[in-house]
Amino acid sequence: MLAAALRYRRAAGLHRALRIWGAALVGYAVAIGLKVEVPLGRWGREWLASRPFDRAAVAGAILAAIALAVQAPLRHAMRRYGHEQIAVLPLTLRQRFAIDFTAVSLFLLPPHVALLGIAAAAAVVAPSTLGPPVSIIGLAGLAVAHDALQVALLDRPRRVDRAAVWLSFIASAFMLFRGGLIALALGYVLVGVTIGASRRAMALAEPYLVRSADEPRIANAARRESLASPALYETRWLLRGNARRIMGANATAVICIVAAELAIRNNGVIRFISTLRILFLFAALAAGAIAVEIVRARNASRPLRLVDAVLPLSAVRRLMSLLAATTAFLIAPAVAAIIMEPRAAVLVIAQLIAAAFFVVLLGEHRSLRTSRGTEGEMYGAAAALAIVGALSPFVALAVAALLVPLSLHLARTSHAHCDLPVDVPEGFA
Amino acid sequence: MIEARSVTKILGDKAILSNVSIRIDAGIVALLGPNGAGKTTLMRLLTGIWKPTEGSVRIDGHDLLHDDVAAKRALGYQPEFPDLHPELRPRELLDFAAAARSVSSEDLAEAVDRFGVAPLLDAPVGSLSMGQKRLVTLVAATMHRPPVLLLDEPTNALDPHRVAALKDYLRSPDAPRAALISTHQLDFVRTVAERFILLAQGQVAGDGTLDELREQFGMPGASLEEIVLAKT
Repeated sequence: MLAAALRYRRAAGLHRALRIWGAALVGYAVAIGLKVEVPLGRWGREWLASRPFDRAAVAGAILAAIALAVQAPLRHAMRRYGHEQIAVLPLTLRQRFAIDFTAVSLFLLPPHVALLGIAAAAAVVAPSTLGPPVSIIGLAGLAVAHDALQVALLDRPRRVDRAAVWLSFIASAFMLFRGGLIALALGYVLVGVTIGASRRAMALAEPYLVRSADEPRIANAARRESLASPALYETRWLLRGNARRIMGANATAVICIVAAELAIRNNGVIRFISTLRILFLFAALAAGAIAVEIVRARNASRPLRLVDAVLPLSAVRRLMSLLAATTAFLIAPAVAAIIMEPRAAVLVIAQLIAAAFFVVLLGEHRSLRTSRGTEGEMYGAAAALAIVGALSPFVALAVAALLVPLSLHLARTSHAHCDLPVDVPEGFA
Repeated sequence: MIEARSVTKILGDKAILSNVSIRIDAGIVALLGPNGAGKTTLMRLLTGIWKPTEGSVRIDGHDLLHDDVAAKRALGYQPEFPDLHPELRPRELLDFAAAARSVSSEDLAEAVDRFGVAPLLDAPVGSLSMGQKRLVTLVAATMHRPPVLLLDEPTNALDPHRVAALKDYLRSPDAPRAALISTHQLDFVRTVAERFILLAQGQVAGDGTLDELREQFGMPGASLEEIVLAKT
């Protein structure tokens, strides 16, 4: 029975969770290759030397982040499909526990074995090499934690939500003033930044935009027109309807940028041109991750767009709203880039935005043309941009500049000649 | 006001519409035909959501392909399926549509009141019933007092009070100069429409007032239902 249940669990969604470990393995390999390593030893000594209260606070924050990182995707994967079928089976509590415990153990075991195997094969099993995997998991933990926080908190503003938002800011300020543990502080700052750019901020701001509660609320529509611009509308429904997807991509992008900085630092890269190469490489990958998710989100929502499709908005205005939404989602990686490498920030952000725009518009255009997924092409375009960036940053900038008119052309062509898919695309039902 | 010239739409290798031409200068016109006749496809072509494989569409004198912003400014459209973003609220959708169409808050409030949507404004769309969502799309379609209105199955899932409100609107001074209503509800269109276009297998099978249709098809004294059943 257990074997059958495990097979069912896997078929009913657990295998989707394995993708997380696939990503972790790739991240680990990249980390080893680039010597991406967080100075965990120094942080550990700082932590041991701190006061008991500080020690407990930091340990609690990290544990909570890691727990959230594993729990949220796993629960999502296990409950996504077929959960009701298991729930209605006449199983005892013990049997249910055995099924779930074994399933989760099987989920956790392979990647650990794989990580150890990779480390042993590389003959670098030493305390210092434990840094990369732990760092990757820690950063992913922070990223997914803030994603989970947003998804959990948004839409229903309550006192406890506001308290959590403020606590994250206070914690980040506290960590910054304490010095040390920079990555942890950065994690908290990113929590604040992303929350600030999200629907949460919109939900918090909304009451202040309505001046008087005594007037009929609809009469205040004119005062809130700034909220109703196409760009904000686009951003808003992308965040409301696809927050997990967008924020997950954003977290991936932040990790890319952080990994770039760690690669620069740990490899002792000092030449500006070499620094730019590494940053461009990761920036293009980050842009690709965000762009793919934006196009996926838009594809998933197209059947819902019949009403706004007939509004009198020009191709350029619609394009601008899409690009503004894309820019909004690039805030977190851009902030990370500025913090990490102020000298190269402007160039990196230019590359990031140009690449994201191009990839978004390519995907938008192709999916409108063919009404099917174009992720392979989008990843290919992002990878090509990354390679160009790694080979020559200045050629990459020139390419990015050329992509702007090409993107505009793609957008205009799509608008003028493509049908809006109004039936649910395959895979998005 | 509404003009489709020799419009053909091919999806895959199947012609959904073949050489369809219609012209509506004024008044309320009903688009009738069996399931799969191409009514919704024609509505999508008239709104610019889909592009014709051949032919052209003009709304209020503007070519929908080359001057789509001007054409859409004159257009109000209620889709067959009121699939709205479930995570948004009606207020957000209507505010956006009002801003995009430069509709004043007073006009928006009037449209909201006309269809009794005010209590629904702040509920998540996902929590609304099909009929309530349809009301929201009706407000979005009529808030700017469009000269041209396209309604696709407007009475589906609406309660009798709201159907009456829609009839009142279509007979009011605010009513559009030209409207095309695609529906299977013959009782409804018989009371509001003065002309009927019959669509069958992607082609226009008949076009005219009830008397003209009777004459066209040689069916004196036939009811609208009898003509539709016999000719589509």
